[in-house]
Amino acid sequence: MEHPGFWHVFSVWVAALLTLIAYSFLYKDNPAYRFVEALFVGVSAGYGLAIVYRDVVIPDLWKPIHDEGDLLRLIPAVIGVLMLSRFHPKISWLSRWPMAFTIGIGAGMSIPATIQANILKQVQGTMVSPVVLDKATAMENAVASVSNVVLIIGVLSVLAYFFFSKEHTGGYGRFCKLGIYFLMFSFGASFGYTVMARVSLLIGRVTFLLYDWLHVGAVLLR
Amino acid sequence: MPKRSVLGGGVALLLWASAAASGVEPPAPREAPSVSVPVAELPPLAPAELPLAPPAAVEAKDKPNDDATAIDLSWRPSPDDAPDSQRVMGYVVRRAEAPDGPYVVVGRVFTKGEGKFTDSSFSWKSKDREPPESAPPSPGGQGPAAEPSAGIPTDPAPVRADPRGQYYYEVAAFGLSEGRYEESAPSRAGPVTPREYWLDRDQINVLVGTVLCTIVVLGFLGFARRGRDFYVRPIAGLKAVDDAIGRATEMGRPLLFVAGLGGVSDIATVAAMAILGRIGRTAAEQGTRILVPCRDPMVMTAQREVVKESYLEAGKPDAYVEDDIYFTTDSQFAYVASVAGTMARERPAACFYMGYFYAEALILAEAGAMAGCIQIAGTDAVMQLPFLVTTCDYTLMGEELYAATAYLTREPRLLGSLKAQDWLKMAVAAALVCGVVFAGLGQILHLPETSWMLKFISLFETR
Repeated sequence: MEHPGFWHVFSVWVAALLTLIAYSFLYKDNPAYRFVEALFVGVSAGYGLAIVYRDVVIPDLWKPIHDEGDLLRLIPAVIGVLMLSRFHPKISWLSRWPMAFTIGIGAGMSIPATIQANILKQVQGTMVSPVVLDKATAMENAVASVSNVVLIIGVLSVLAYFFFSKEHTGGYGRFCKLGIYFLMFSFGASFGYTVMARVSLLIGRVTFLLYDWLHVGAVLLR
Repeated sequence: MPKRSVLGGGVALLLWASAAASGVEPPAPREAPSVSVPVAELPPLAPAELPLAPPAAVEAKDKPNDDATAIDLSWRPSPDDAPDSQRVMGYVVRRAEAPDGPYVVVGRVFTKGEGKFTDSSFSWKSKDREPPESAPPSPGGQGPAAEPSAGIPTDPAPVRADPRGQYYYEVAAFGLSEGRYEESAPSRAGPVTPREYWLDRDQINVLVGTVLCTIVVLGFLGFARRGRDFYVRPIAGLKAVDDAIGRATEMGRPLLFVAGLGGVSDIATVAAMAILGRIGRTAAEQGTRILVPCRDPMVMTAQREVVKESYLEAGKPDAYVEDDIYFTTDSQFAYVASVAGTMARERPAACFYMGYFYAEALILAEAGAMAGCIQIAGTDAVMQLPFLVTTCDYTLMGEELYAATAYLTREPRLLGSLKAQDWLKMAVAAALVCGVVFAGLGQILHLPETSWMLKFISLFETR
């Protein structure tokens, strides 16, 4: 078996120790955790800056302007530079322009997309027959009918819950409460599903510690 | 039938066929001249001996309702493309600028039967049309079985074409015969030119919906400006906001506000900033410090503006501390580590999580619970709502986050907008009920697709 190099062993040790120190926060805050936190934040911020420079500034700004003479790129560049005006109190108001530009573009683009995805598609998907008769067997028809009725009542009751112009009282209040039950059922399912994914992340980290660092995984499995 | 006669008949037939092809009269067969052999009983020729039959009726049409960047192709399958035959694996589509070529591969369809393909390799940008220095090989496949098999050649990524040009297409069936790649003769179509449309007719319902929503919102904004009072029902989580700020003031501890991981143009972030403004003003009035760690520099800038304005409104501009609204990092979990550390050290009395969250929501809420904070969350991130509901004291779910701003500020414009949303929700519910009734009647009465009831449902179809 080929012996791993010094830097490989060193990096595994560093990663393992940093992992354990990060987990130490579960007990309580401590100086080692603070060091790891600062290291993590600093490294990620620096790395992020380098990535933006390499993947955005150079290919999307510098090369088109310098190599291809695409001067239109100067417009977003100037808008971006206006953000830096915040460092000078007298002209700091200029930094509102790029923000207004970004928020305006974002809102304008999201309105039709929201109407399409969150309203029309959902409405069309809910317009199902509460009585299904075209399945192969009577049992399938019954199951599909019940499923559709649950879907229709669920959507309408949740919609009623998010209606803010009427207080949740009386029969209407009970219908809204039904909407809350539907929401909680869906949250429960989502919770379980996501917890499983998180557990798999934990397993990945523990596997790293046992196999790559301590090399005891194979022994434990025997 | 005796084997000899069959062979004899087959040889005779082949001899005749080859002679006919060469224009020579075939010699009269000397053996078995009177044997007649039904065609069905002839031994089948090995598949490899016959070339693949090409697909038929290839059509190339401009893809409607787009910006002239796609051509739709369709064809009838090759006669060899039978459901029980494995000979045809798919179809290869090529494009050329002249009828005689050269044709270049623009894609492969790894599906059998009726063929469809959309050539989207067009671009208005001249830069995109330049051939790459080293084009990475790409199968360019469409269809469910896009993974090419061994033996199928990998095609270079197609060079994008100018939408203003005229193009010709050819489609050929391909397959593997004894591990060897084989292809039919091509069937051609063209010329065709992509056309651009100013209006996407497939999305007219989206346009109508947008216009209707805009009219309703503007109408209610007008009512609000004229001073009409609108009722908004109490929202439990929001009533707790003032209590949480009061608790922080009494304990002499700061507030912590996290605006999620969304960008400055995300609707949830915009709603979060409006809530931050309200919290900031109350905090300024009560002299409570507010900490706002940020993950996005643009969001940080906007939040500084919002909090600064809150302090101005509260009449305490000097109490505003810009450094309390600070950038940490844009890396998700590094940001979480930083916020969790802040919670442990600063021990805020109340934490607000408003905006769009991802996997970090649970970690933040757990760290807040460990620090003993009262926690109020609000998000429209459906996947994170279960975690915030279970770990926070109050949670604003989805639409409640948007309503929160109007409820807290009681500003007429926001209340008018909220009221307009309620009316639109009622309209949606009414349309839903109508659609459900029509769908039910369609099922019971076996209505045809052309009936107006089922057409009503199709009004909501989007591409």
